[in-house]
Amino acid sequence: MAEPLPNRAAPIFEAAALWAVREGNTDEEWEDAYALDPDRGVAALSDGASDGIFARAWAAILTRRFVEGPPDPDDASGLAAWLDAARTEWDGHFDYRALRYTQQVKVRRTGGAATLLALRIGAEAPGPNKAGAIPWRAWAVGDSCLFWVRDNRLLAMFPTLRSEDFGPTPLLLRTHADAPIPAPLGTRGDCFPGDAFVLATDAVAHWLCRGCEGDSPPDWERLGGLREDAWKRRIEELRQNEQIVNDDCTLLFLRIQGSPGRFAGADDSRA
Amino acid sequence: MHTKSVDRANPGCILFLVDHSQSMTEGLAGSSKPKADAVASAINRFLGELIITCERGGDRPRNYFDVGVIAYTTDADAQPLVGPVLGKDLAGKDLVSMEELFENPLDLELRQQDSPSGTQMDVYVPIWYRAPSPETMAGTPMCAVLEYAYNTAADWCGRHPRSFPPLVIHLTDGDATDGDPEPAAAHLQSLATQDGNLLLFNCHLSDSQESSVLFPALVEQLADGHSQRLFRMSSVLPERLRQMAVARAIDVPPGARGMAFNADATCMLQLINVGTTVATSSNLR
Repeated sequence: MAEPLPNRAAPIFEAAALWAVREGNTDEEWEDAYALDPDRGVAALSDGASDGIFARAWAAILTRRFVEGPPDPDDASGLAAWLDAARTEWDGHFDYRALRYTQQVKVRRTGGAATLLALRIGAEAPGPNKAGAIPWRAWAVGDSCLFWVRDNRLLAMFPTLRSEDFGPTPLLLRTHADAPIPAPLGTRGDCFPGDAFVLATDAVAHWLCRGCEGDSPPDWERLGGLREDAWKRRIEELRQNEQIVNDDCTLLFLRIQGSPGRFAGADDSRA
Repeated sequence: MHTKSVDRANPGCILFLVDHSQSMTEGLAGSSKPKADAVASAINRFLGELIITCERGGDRPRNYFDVGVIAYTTDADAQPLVGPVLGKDLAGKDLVSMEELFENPLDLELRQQDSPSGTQMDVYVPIWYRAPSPETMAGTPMCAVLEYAYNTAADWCGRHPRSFPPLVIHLTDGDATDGDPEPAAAHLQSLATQDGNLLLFNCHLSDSQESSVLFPALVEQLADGHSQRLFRMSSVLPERLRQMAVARAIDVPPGARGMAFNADATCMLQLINVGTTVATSSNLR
């Protein structure tokens, strides 16, 4: 079941969010969504799927609800109950009877769909920690990806590990009550102050992944320091050069704060 | 090649070429429904589905596609009559956007649909194209319509060089009455965007119950010169489209041509269905 996380006095991470809407769409049609609570160490990113309707609303509902009251993704029944509540909220986002016929058909047939990538830092310890280490856990449904970076070098990525594994039909959380719920993939580790987590929706993640596989890995620190206008210019260049597909491009850069000792024996944050 | 997703900056293009020759008034595959009416039903159904696909929750369906319906026959002097046949405010336009299509149906027809609660409810379904009256239907100037399509598609490719290339679906029941259509078909297929050559699919509609041939991969699968010519005039299905068709449980072997011969209504719909997998939701951005 959903459970609130304890508040902390100081933020666990500092966050920068960069986004660019796909070419041809207006900013209001950006269909990714994210939600952050740096004080509690919770972040969520979602990519509203292009085969759905009201996908932006669905992505926003998933991320906000995860940050406000994360379920235990390892508890299938708890996750199902959490998703039911999110679906109910999505149903209330529009007046079905007021929709035109073609929209009603799309709602009935397809509904909304979105990926979900969620991260909790310091919230629960995966067993004995190294001195000063900060526990973290991540869950994912679909191809929005997390990159764990230290000293500007990639330590790990999740859940997709190779660029060739990105495909056109990622797993999705759907609004239809009878749609199967894909089991979230999970991972965990210990991070340290100064580490960074980069969360990205699939177009950006695919580009970053290819960079990691090639001779010129991403300059993560530079990415994290980009201003919004520079980010949008960079994405436009990549699109023009066919190095990235024309999709919404969202990247969250989270920097772990504090001194190592602050999290030692962090039992108070156990969820 | 043929891998580009469809988005509003790089829309798709789907163009129907429809035979309005006299024989299209005859029943399709031994049925009493005229071939021309079966074609109209299939096109209206396709256009309606396309609008649903383009619904994303905004004020209007998104302009993911430009679509057109071009008909061809001959006049009293046996001269080609070729041109667009969508009506009302769309009249005279070779290609129209999804918004234009959405806003300009010819009529609304009452149908029954399942409601969310499982009960039947009345809905009005838009109609954009009706079969012509039989007295206006005469010859089969196929070369002329293929050249017309070339001009329409060439203009579109020039305006959308980064898009998935145009898909042209030709629905006919006979052979050309204005010469050998193979060179005109090859000319049309020579058009390309950066994502590959234009795709031409040909559907030969049957007036008998002879067995159909759908998506042949070898010319030897076809019995006569007419069907073999249609085979040569039809594009090989790009691998991505073929895989999407297979994923929808439609049997399309590697190397298959976008072609149906002696098609009945089901066969025609399958050809349209596979050809337009480019318009499936998962391919849109």
